[in-house]
Amino acid sequence: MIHSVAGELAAKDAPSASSVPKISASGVRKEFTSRRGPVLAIDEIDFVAEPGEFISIVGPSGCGKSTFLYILGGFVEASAGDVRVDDVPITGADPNRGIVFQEFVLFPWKTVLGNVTYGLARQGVPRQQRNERARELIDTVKLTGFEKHYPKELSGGMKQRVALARTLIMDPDVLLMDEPFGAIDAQTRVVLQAELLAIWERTTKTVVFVTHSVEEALYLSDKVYVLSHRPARVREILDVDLPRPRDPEAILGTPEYVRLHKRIWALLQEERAKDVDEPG
Amino acid sequence: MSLRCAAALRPLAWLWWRVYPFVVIVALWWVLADRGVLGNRFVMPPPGDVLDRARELVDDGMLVDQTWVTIRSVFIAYGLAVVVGISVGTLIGRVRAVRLALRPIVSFLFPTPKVALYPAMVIIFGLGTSSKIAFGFSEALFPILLGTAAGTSQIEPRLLWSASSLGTTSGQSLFRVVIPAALPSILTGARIALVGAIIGVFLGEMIAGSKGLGHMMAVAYRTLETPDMYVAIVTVSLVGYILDRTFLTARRALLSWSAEEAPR
Amino acid sequence: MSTNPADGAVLPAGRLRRLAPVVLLPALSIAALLGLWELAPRAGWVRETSIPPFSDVIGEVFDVLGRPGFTTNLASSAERWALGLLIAIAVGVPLGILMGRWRPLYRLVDPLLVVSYPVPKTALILLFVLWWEAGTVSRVGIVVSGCLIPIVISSYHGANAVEERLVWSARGLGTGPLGRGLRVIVPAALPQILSGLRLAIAISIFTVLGSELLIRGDGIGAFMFTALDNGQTLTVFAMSTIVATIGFLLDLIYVQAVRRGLPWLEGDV
Repeated sequence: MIHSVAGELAAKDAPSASSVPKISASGVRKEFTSRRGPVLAIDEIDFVAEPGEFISIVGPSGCGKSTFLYILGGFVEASAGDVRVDDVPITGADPNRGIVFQEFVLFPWKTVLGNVTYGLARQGVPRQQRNERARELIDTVKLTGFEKHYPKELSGGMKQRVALARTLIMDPDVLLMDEPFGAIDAQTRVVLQAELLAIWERTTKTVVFVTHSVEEALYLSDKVYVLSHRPARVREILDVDLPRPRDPEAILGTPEYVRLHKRIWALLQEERAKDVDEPG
Repeated sequence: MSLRCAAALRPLAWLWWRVYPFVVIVALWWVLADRGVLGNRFVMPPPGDVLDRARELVDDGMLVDQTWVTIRSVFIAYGLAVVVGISVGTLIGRVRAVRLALRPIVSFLFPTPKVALYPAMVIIFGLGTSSKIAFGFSEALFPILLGTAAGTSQIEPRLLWSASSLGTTSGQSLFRVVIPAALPSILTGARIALVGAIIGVFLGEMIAGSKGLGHMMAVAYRTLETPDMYVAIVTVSLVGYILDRTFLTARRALLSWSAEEAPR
Repeated sequence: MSTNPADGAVLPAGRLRRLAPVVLLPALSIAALLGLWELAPRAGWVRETSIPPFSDVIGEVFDVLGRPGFTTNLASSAERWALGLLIAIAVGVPLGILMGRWRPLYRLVDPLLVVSYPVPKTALILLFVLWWEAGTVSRVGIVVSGCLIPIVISSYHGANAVEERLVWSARGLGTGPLGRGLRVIVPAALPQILSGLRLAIAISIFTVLGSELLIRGDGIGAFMFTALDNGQTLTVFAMSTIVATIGFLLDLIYVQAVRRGLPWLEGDV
């Protein structure tokens, strides 16, 4: 089904959900100043995420999807528009909105344990407790035994697991992920995707997942936002009505998957072509 | 050669490469002195004579005293340079207004030969250790300042974002993220600065001073006590070598997490 | 549908607002510094005999520049500096490059460099005078000893970092070892070499000045020391300012010359 955001907000048919969406962004606009003058990265985006939803954002390269994610995270300020979490406007970064980046971005001078316990240390949790909690999470991401290792000694996939653990230990309601598996080899990526889904299905976190892989978006999410080329606007929102739990191979043949895949691809092709046509 | 044989010899090889330059220098020195290539025994005393003289000076306490004067000045100069260099460098690296304001001053002073400013320092601070400390400070300041400015200005913003999303306040992020991330660059500058401080203090003592190893060498030159000259310069060189090695070891330990190669 | 407003006119006010701090802040800080230099001695915050006011120093600078003694001394120092630097380059660059391409040479020479790194080379002038008298050999030799190591090290790093495949391509095209050295390795190592050269310029000026302050004779350092010895505070400050400016200008000229002469170089040295 194709939605408009207004329609979404109007027709709340989720029986048990509260009427307050987890994340709601309206009229978000972002302008940067460069040497040549102002550059519009995001024209206008309206975005809604219900609690517990897994939403992907796809779009052509450089369209501003990561920038939008950073705005949701509170790292970048929107030039205009309203961003709310639990109906409260956001003011900067917050441990309740955890972020995972494509390049892992671990603290290189800290060990795995040091990285994972970092957030708890900032909250004043005593050492023993935070180490225990960290070890649990390190087990969850299957890195037992690597607590004393430094990031430089880890592979890409392992580093991303650490990044995930570091964020999950704060038990955020919202998980923001910026192409988290983009820098990881294909085989590890498949494993991590499955693990991410497993963790998400066990908890009630709201996940906003930026990716340029249509397959990944369809495998993981409940909804896909397709953005236009820069300056970004929401081109279309698609529901992914594939039943869970999903088998990454099995879904590939289903008619619903094929339809969604075709539609999203077509949209992306259109947007990419427009990008090439326009100068600059 | 069997694998075990090679493995056993490795620490010996390591030791050899550490020691070999000293062996070469002393051997060359001995040969030159023996053959009188650079002059007679007075102009170039053989290593043995210099060692004897050094022992004499240690016994009457003079060498230790003078060395301590120099080392003390070096530490004070270096300590000041570290404090000022890292503070100002961080400000330059993180605050655009400061970088813009200070850039012309730093760009002018950095390539200046600080020894050109030394006579002015003598006028301002007098002939005592203060002017030597000022000289050493001026030599040591810029490598640290520039290293810190470079390191703190090139921090991956997402590192700071990650920290803030894990609950780090802006005040905390300075010491928890900025400085550690900039540490490799800071320590590179700090190493150069250490030698700079030693050179500044020593030369200052030589040019216009009354104490320290530099002064000892200058006096020996004027009074033609040539062995003392050699003792002085060998001592300051050894002190410099030991401090530099110590620094490198400390650096390696502090940066054990870094993926970059440590300097040789 | 909105389009990129960047292709519209950029308001002059906007650009002005962005450029103002770039020009104003440095100008203000320089003005503040010089103002302080002028004010402090005049207001009595520091003794005029310790730090003469800025305007007096500038006046003396022009006076000194006009003295014949100054120009002849400057020429003497400049000769030694230039000669010493050239010899250091002629010896150091090839040595560094060879070290970078031939590992045994590196293993042999590098430990020697490490040990001599903390030695205050300028101080060696006193020994040089013992061995070779206070003539040109010592005075030029000290400059060579001062800047040789940075030149060798940067040439080594430059040559060492040259992509092996560049060299193989050249060999495959039939270039002999000398040809490869000149046509491939030197150009590829050039950024590092030029960077080391920039440092060497500063160090060599330092060494000339320092050695002259120590053994006097003639030269800018001797000139300065005499003024210091005679208690001519104003002259000393004027000399310091002049030499500092010379050092700054040489560095500036060098960077500009490299930028123009080698436009294909990325970034500054």
